[in-house]
Amino acid sequence: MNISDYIAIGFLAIGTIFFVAGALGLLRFPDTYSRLHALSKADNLGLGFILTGIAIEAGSLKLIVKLGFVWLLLVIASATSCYLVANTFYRMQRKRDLNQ
Amino acid sequence: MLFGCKYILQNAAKERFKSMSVDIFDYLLAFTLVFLTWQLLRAKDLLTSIVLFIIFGIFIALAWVQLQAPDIALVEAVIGSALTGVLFLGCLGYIETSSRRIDREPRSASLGEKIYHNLFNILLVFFAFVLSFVVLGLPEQTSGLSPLVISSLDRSGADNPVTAVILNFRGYDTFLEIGVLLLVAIAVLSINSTRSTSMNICLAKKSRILGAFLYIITPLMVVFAFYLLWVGTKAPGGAFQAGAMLAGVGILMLIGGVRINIMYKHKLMRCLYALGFVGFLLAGVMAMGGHRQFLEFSPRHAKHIIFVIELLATISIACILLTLFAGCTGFLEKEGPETTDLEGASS
Repeated sequence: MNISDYIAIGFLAIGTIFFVAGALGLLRFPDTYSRLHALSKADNLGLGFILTGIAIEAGSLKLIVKLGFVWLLLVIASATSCYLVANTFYRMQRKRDLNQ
Repeated sequence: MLFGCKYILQNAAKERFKSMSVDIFDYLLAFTLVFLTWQLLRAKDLLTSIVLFIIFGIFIALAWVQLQAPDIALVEAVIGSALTGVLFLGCLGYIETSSRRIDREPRSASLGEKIYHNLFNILLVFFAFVLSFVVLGLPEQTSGLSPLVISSLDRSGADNPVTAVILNFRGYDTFLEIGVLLLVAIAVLSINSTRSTSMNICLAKKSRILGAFLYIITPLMVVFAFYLLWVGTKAPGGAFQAGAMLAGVGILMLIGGVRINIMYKHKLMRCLYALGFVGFLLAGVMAMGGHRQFLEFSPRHAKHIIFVIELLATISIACILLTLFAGCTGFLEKEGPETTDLEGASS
């Protein structure tokens, strides 16, 4: 195992820590909005680190470009779904407050 | 994360380290599957169960990858996990909020009553034990049927052994599966309301962010679906995966407020539903022309026949799955479901 393997494992470990932090935030934060914040930010960052770790070990440029596409699509989808959940929750809250 | 570690360590030179890491990953995966199932069945809220079911599907897809079956992993992740989860969530929108809590039996039941209530569960656990003993007693490394398939690959018209088996050697099974899908579409359309004849969009307002997302994602997904269809002859892919991706695009468009005015009882839609099944049937019957059996394709034309069948099946599967979603979530009626009635988001 040469130095690039160690660097890749380091990136993977940092990515794992971010994912665990995001999951902890999901469990422990009091409010839906803060949970969404933890989930989208920490998970995207963790994903970036993990994909970088895999890209270091990847053999060909084609694989690295594919991983870049995966990262891009996942970031866009994660941001969109985070917004949709937050918006639905906000409208639900408004409806509940107006009905009371 | 674990998968990434396994990928890294497989490139390392140490054999002992490599086998240990794969074993740990497999054991953790098996434990996670059992644990997820237990939590899923114990959940007090239907929304929790559905979310756990979606996650369970993703882990099953991981298990398929570990078993060196990427085709099945693709199908499981798209149809088994994502599409079925979306169908469940759509049905959840119809159930009243009060019925979403699941009441388990009270704790103060006697032991005899508990055994009686859980008889089926005990039987299942016993069966699981017997099954695991059987599986552990199987021979370690056998090649199975793959030498036979690979030796006949040039006669099948496909370079991917999975596609060769699905569409040529065991084409009858796939033919009947497509028939089952057609029956499901007919059933869903029959039990739905007859008030409207088109799929209208019933959301309160059209979401702008989702619309922008659709601008980016729709062409990508359509191109990728047809790529999956094309590459299915050489690499993991094929008709079911491509059809499910197209259905996914359709579902996103329905949710995002794009107006799809498809008359689902229109003759064109009926033709599209039946296209896959009828195409397969015709191909099988036409193969009987030269003193051959039903569905026995000649090795010279097999490649083209398989591709045409897969193309027709993709269109059919996409339309059927989209209709399934529209039927299960109320887009087939004039008035849509309550879109903001999800109590689970606040817990």
